[in-house]
Amino acid sequence: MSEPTVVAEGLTKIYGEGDTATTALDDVSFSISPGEFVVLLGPSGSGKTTLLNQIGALEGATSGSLVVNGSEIAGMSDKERTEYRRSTVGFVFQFYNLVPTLTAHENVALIAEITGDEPDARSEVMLDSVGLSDRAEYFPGQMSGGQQQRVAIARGIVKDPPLLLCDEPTGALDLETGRSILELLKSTTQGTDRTVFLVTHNSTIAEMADRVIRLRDGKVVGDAVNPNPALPVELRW
Amino acid sequence: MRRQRWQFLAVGATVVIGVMMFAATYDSYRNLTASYEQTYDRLAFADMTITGGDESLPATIEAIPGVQSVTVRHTADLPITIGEDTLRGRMVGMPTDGQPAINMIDIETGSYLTEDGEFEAAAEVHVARTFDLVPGDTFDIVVGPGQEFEVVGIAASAEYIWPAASTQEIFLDPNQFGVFFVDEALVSQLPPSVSARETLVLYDDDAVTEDVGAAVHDAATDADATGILTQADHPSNSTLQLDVEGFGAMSVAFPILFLTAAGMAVYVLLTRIVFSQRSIIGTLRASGMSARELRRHYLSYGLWIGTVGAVTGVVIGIISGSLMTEMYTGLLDIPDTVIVIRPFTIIVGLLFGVIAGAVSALVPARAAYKIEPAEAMRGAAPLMTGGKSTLEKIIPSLSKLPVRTRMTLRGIGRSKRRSLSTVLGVTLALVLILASGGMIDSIINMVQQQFEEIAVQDASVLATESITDDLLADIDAVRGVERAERVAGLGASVTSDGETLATTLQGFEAGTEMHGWTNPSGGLPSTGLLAGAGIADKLGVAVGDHLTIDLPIHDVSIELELIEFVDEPMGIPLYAQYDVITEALRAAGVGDPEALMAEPTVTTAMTLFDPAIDRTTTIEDLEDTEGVLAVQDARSLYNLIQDYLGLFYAFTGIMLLFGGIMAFALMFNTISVNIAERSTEFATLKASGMSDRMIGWMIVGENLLLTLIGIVPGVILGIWMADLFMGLFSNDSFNMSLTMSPVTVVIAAASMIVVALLSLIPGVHSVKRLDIGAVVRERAV
Repeated sequence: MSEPTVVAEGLTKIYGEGDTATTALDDVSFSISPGEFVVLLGPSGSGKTTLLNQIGALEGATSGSLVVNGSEIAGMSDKERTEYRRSTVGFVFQFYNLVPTLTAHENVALIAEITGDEPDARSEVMLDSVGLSDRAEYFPGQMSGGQQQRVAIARGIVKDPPLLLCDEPTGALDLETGRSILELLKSTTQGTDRTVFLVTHNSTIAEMADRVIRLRDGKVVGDAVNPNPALPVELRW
Repeated sequence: MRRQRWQFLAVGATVVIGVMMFAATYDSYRNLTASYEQTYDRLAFADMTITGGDESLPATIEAIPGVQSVTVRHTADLPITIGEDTLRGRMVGMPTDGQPAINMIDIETGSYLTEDGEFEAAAEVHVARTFDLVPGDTFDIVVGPGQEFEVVGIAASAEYIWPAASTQEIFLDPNQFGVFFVDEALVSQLPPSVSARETLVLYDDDAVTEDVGAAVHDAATDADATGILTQADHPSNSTLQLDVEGFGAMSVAFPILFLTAAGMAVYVLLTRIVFSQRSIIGTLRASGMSARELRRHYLSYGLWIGTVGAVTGVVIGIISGSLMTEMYTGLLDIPDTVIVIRPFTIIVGLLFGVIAGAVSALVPARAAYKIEPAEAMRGAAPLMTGGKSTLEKIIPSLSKLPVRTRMTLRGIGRSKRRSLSTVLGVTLALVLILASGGMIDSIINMVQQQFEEIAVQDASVLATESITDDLLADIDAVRGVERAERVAGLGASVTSDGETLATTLQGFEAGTEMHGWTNPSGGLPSTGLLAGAGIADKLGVAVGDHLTIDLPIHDVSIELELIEFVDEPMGIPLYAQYDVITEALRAAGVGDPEALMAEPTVTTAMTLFDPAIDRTTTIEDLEDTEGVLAVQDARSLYNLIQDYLGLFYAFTGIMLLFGGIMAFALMFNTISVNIAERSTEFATLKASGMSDRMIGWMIVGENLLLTLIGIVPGVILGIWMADLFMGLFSNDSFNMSLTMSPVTVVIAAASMIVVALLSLIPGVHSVKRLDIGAVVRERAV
């Protein structure tokens, strides 16, 4: 896996025009090293999801620069963004977003197919790594929320992406399940240089981060290294 | 509705077309029926036309209760010339002291016959139009001493709105057959071998047609009549009624097809709307909105579409119906054009649309008020339990396919009702397209079979006198003629089981090359005769029966054994060898049957041409041959029919278009709903790096698979429907059986695939434009 760095400089995103223009990101700058577990923290409307979308190249920026692993992604074309997402980024969403007509194994294999890897073999390995080998042939409708999120994580990392972007991954889960998911996410950085970005409004979760970037009204209001990240099992919210 | 305006528009278009087609075809059906009835009433079109019978027949019929009037007239078919053209002229006898009580004519230009005028004629409109005849023009009867007639008027007749010569001669080249109304006294003077006596019967307005008809029929049979034709069976009326019945059938079939499709589309669309508005519904219910109010709200969607579609459809349909009626009556020179705006059409058309919209909205509306508020407000969509597709269960190895292919297969079973909607759209569209395509194919096949396999002669040569051996040799010697044969044609009737069939007995030489034979033996038997297969149903006769064949013109009856049936598309003909007929005449007591058969009104020379020689030159050379009166080109009639087929092609093209619109509307709606429901899924795949093209192919694959599934029942039902329609149009003149060209089926199926692909374009485009960032955050709905 190559060594990513994520460097944002003056990143700005404005939605709409004229009177209805909304500045979702306002001159955001930061620099992230490989292997960091980064929490993007802020209240609703602070721009944290927008920033995540920028890093994931889900949408373009209005101005500024965003360099990931040496590539400027702020001005990429649609085709380049698709290729970037395929090779560099894995996603985990709040509501799992699994394909309901595919089994756990197939949900993971589908993404492996995109990159041309041995989908079945990779899927098996990933499901095993998230502790769901025995649920491989289950459909999402037959699994709990926590199990579905595990499958989503397996899907997110099956491509072995340098970046894993998580948008409120525990938002739909209870405390116990949420903690186990956070533990799983943390484990994906161990032994790798994978950088994880996790968006949350829950400041307790920020305690487990290596790095916390606070946002408010589209601006970075805090960017701090956490010298003693807590273990997920210690978190209580 | 504004948010899904395109979907509602597509559904609305289907409602509009369905209601419009009902209004247009129903009004055309009623208008044409009324137009014919008005013409027939005004011109006192005979309820029964009886040929032959003894002298006492008119008086016998007059005494039957329910009979209003009876008249007698004569008709004769004679060769005539108009300018340089020679054709068969039908002289219809008319009184000169005023119009007859039955079968009056409508003078359009000029005047009716006068008592003072001796050789006056009113030309029927079709021959007048063909030869640009106006009052003052003349034509000549060229048989015997000949006689010039002056055209004093141009007239329309209820008997010849469709200018058929007989039930066996429906299609005639207007350059070769024309009708003239002349002094009855002249026609009645012609010998019985040339003219036919007809008794015309008109019933009372309040008579029970069936009862009076049966009594008149019995009287005619008892009087040894050789031909009995009801108004319904009259060749002109029966041919025209085919179209009218066609409109009638369409006025039922079209609304069923289109409104079923529209109903399905409304159901799919509203179900999706209700589902996507679950949380709103839950909130409204929690706030106190009653189930009834909720149901009314969602019903109103269906009512709106149905009402707007129905009103639009009725307006366009009524206008179209009026235009179609005018165009039709103008094209066919129907004397009366009745166009009425019928409250029935408006009411039924509106009801069709409104009911289709309302009924199809009922289930989704009911589903709306059944939603539990608490669960709905949580915004959680009911989890869908996945499973393998039916195909994978049947063929387990399909589970080894790439995951995205499995996703395509399983996408079909995701919403069975939506998939059914797509399949139904394809099926209904194919029924529409193949029913009309099948009719065209059958008519083309019928025409080709008749002119290229059965009646294969290139031309018939009419002689001024008998076709002697010398004349036949001269005809054969004309450059361009490969072969010439004598062929006899005798007007005949056969009676059995109380039914009479008027037809033609044709006599061919043994080993003839002028006719293709479809009987099991493949040729003309050396004894007895062949008959069209329809004679079995018509007269209840069978192979081996001895038929008594009346030849009214010659006042003789012969007996021949029915050897085999022939299967020919036009008419119910009788065939025997020339010599067999001659001997049968001799056995019936005719003193000089050879002379009778040699008469120019009985025997013509049929010819086959050398295809390497210019046809027109050959015909001209034949006409220049001494002893030749006229040459009737068989190809000209074939070309005339081909011209008529242009109308059928246009009709089929319109059906293809409407079928395509219907299928498109259904597929577009289901695809839109499908994509809207799975937008989160597609956005997630895009976020994971799946290209728009790959996602597009998955959507295309699902839809194409459903289209292919719909093609199977569509083709089966379409062929069945086409066969049903063909059966409706069979009568004494046409033996309609379905011939469906594989090319037609392929084109119809391919058109559905094209429509499927077209309907996908907006949906696939919308996937490209998905706001991934926004959509992936949504709870899947």
